[in-house]
Amino acid sequence: MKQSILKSSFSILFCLLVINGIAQRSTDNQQTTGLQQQEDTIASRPRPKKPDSLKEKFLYRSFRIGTDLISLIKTPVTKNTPSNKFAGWEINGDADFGKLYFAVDIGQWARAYDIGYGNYGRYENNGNYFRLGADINFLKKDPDRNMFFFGLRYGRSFYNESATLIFPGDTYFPGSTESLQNTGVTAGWGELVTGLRVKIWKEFWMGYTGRMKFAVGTSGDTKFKSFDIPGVGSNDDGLVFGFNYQVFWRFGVVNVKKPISK
Amino acid sequence: MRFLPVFVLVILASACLSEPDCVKAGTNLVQLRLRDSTNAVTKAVFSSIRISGLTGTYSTKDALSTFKVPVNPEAEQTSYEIEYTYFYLDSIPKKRKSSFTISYTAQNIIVSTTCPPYKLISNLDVPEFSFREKPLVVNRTLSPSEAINIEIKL
Repeated sequence: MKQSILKSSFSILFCLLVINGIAQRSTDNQQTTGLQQQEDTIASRPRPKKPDSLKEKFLYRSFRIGTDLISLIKTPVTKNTPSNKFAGWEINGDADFGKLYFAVDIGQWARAYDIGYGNYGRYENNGNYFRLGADINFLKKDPDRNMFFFGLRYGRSFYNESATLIFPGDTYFPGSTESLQNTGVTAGWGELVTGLRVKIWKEFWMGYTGRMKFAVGTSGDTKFKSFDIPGVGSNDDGLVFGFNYQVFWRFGVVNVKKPISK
Repeated sequence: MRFLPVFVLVILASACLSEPDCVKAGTNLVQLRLRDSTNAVTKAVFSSIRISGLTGTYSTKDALSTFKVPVNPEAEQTSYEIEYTYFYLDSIPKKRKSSFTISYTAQNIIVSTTCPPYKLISNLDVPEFSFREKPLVVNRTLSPSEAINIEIKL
């Protein structure tokens, strides 16, 4: 119950953030429109059209390669805690095409849990994943090309998982212990992402990405229902939330000519 | 007022500190409902219920219109032999002996890292029976709710 309330709360919060972002944008538009109306009333004669400096052409500008710091920190921190162990990494890349950024993530993920402090067994998985998608940058005027973005991703995961499960008995039948393995499991899912990318120094960037993962589907989990999916996390029926704190280095910068004022 | 969003966030985040309760998500009990030849719900007193995989014999003192029998979660089907007295047209007692087999699939589910795993019993069917009509499977998945799974016409 608490989990569902928490999930709903985060969903609402996420929606509010989205609405807030859109509202900011529409406020900017309203202000601009108001200014144009004012100009129209002052000068009635038609003026030559100025080039729209905010409109960005769909041209390649640069690409960034980065990594998720949370995965890198979690790996050594949980190394000596077999009851809740994580080992993994994630590499993130995006290519700047103006307002649109194409993004690719690849990662590796191995997790191990004791279930009920070991009283109900143990679970382990190991696999790889990737995500493909695009982001839209809402910071149009920023000269450093900092980003506040929203985007979509499609993710695929390929992994093996094993579990030793201790089933408690009931009034009629005794409990049992089973060692089970799912091999060659695949999963697919969608993500709605948002976050920031900020230029820190020269070509060094930092940022974060919040992820709302949905429509998670698995195949090949025949022996038991897949519990933890690399790249996703818990295989719940509802939404799954994720967070990355990332560092990037920008490469291959191509200067795109700014529109010339007439 | 400007700290309100922070306050809301703190309240939301505090929920993360409490561990979720383990609710009983699975069961191996099949709920059966009895109907007579006119399709009306009827009652029966069970003098003997024998279940494959179990050595004992079970019985009921009272006349029941619905009752639960366990399925063996480690097997793919469980057979039952029942001896009962049911009341035809609510008054005439009739003694009968019947048998039936329930087949199913059991999926192993890990709920969380704190709660015990369970077997989700689904795809219920009655492949073998000695009743006049094949029992009707109303709900193919077992759940802890009081939903009827199979209706038997005596």
